[in-house]
Amino acid sequence: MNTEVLQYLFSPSTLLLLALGTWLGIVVGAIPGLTGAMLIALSLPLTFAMDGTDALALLIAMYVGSVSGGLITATLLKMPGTPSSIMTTLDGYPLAASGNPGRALGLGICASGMGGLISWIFLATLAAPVAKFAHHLGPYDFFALIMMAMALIALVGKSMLMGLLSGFIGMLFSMPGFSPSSGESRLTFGYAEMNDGFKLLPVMIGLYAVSEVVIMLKKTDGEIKEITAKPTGMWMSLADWKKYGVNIFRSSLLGTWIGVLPGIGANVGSVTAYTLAKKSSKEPEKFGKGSEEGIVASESANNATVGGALIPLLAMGIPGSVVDAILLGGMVIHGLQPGPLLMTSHPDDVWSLTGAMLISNIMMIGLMVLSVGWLSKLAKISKTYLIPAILVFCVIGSYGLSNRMFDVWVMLFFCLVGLAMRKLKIPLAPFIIGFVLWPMAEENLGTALMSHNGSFMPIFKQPIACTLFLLTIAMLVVPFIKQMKKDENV
Amino acid sequence: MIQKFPISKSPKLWRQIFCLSALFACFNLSADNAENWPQRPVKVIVPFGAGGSSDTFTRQLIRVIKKDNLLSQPLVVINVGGAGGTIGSRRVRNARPDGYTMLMLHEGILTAKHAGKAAYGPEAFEAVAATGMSPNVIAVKSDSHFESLKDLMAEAKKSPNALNFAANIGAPSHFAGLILEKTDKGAMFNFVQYGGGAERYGAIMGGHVDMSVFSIDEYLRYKDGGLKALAVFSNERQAALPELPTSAEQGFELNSSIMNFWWMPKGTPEAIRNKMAEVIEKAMASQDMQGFMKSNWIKDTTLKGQDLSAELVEREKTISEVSMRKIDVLPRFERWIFGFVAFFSVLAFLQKSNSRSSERIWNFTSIKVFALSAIYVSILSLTSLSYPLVSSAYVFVLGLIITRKEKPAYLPLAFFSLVLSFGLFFLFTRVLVVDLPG
Repeated sequence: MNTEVLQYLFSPSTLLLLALGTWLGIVVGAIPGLTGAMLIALSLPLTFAMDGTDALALLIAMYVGSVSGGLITATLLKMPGTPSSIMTTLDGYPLAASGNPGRALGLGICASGMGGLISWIFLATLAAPVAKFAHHLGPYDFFALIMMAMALIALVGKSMLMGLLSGFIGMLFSMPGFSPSSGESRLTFGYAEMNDGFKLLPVMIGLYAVSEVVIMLKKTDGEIKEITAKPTGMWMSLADWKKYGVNIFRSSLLGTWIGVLPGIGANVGSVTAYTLAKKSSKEPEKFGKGSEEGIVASESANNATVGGALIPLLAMGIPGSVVDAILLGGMVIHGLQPGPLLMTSHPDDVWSLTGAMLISNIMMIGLMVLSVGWLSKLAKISKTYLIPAILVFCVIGSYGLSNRMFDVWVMLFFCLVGLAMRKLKIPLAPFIIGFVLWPMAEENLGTALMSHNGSFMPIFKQPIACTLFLLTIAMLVVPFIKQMKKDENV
Repeated sequence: MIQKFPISKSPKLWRQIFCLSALFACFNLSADNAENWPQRPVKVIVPFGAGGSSDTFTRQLIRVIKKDNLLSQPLVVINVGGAGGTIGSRRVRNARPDGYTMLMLHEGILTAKHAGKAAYGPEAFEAVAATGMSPNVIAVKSDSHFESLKDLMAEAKKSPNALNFAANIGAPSHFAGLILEKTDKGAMFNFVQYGGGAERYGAIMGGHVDMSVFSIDEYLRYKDGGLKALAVFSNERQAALPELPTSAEQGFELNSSIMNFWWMPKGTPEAIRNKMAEVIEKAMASQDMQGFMKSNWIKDTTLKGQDLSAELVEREKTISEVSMRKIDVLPRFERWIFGFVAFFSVLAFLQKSNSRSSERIWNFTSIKVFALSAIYVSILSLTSLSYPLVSSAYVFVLGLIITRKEKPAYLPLAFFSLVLSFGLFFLFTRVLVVDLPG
């Protein structure tokens, strides 16, 4: 980093822009139904008149803010503001409901900040080498890796069977439309609007936001436990840092790595880190009932994916997530040609953007702590006003994705699916993960089969793929055997 | 429970809403004719996500049209992505041919038809203009032993189906490969699915495939990352890569490029199409646009009228001459997944003991709210009533349903619904320039 970059980053206008972006990101992230991807996609046209570096710095600040803001609604309203904070609801809400909202939020915010900082260090030092390594992964390796991620997710819940069922239902719902491997249309029942299948955003909004609203209606205003938080007692103490340091570092590392992999975003990072934290915890039974470790793992990992996902974007011009795909478009619009050349042709711009991520992360911590009191009022607003507003946003959010009413109908349909799944006690998180990951898995498997003439054998011949595949099988089989042994003993 | 339907107590409000909606409906239906077109903003549908090369090009052109004041009304970009551009193209195909909806779709309109992704092609639209061209280049890894297109084709002929070619199956990159195959009888590539340019680049660098095609700008972006172009698929050498020989120079007659086409629904008056084509032509000639094309290595081309029709006929002919081979190495994945779902459902059903929550998760109010939302969405999708009016009515009635007080606070609620709906409408359509339903 040279002085010009530093001068740029610390000029009042840049700082103001970063604060604005981070703040907007936090607010949008906190509102269920609105995501960072939407905010950034909607803001991109607004930046046309701006200088390229300013515009991208603003968008990156929004990205950082939006990944973090979701934890507020997840903790206080039990609604993930964004997909990346799904895991935070599991422990954040119980902890907040048990009388420790400040503690729950404080842990989340500090972990988010640390996750961002740790991933930034990787972004700044490892950008080029890490992206180079990802290129050596073949399609079978990717397929095995995605399978392992899916197996991990099925293990999160109470019942592995229900987790697997949920995951496969999610995969089934990701099937309609053009196949990602052969391009042929399937399961559309002759309805052309289905050619593109169901999109993640309307499915998410329907499954989480709308069906949660319908459930909220059952309770009267008096029944809702008012959860509010003040910006006191939020900073983690030295003892906390000691206690959770390993967890934060592990989760951030994992989040960064998952961010680097193309297409896998903050939600998978958070889920994987959460699961690992549960596996290696001394008190795994606390997970899902207000475990502090769970919050820390989920939040540090989802913020870490931001830095991770920027690595392939800045180093190779390959987007690591949906948001990065929009950022890539922004770079092209503003004349920063993405690709391996960018690091050598526009080093100052790359460093400015890298720096912008660091600064907005630090700002995020401050803004979140200061505005928690204000943002948590979302939970106190009368339902008469809150619910209509949320529903109107949900409709706009689903519609805005690709400007068609079909997506809004999809949202309403998945509201019913969500209600049915809750009724049958099928967990929702594996559904979403299966839904997101299967198309990627299929594309990679399809590619692999097409280049090896339809043979599955190479998966056992390639060392990385084989190892990952065996690990996956072990993860699924070992719990079953354990269960059977237990039954025998009884 | 005297006031079961409190809303009926305020007939005045209903009357006001009715009058206002009638007014808006009249406004929407007011007749336009070709001479005074355009009277309101023209929607330009980009059938891909924001930020892609089609989107960037369209937005740049529109920016120039606005800056140079070439059209009295603004052009508004709407991204309707998905299913290889067919979701957006179908939208325009079904739109009213009044000149207020336009589609910007490249080569993909032809390939989608011939790959069976859409039942229609250019014939279902009125072509307005073609702008900018980016020829395809074929590239291999820089340390590959192939030094020319000739080497490559000889190998493909000697051992057909052995060389892996990364392509987006059924999209322009796939057809470029098929057209290349056809220039040399007996040559065959094994096409492997890889989505966008970035993925195809990654596949080559990782050694998973032998080659792929890229548009010139994509190639220049990745070139220094270890790619080597063998030929450009055009009649003449390109200014951006003067040292790269054409395919024709190496003995393979083919033309393959990406061209951006502008379409209007079938039946759009000719006067409107001509006016739009002129506007686009002027914008293309502007210094801004020339600079943009230069920095993005897009070849400056503008076609309209006869030239455009001839170009389209030529391109359709080339594409229709090749045929996609059926991919038979892939299993029916949906059957696998369906099998797993059925298997685990049965297991879960057998394990009845802990399934089924006895707790009720919905009540009468939630059913009403859901039904009202469905009605709201229907009104938005089926009618052209204006968004803020429908939404404020929706928010107001929703508020009445949710609040359980004997005397609902009508005034604050009405105020809230109006501010929310009109505020959002203003924010999205005026500030963010985004389309809203209705």
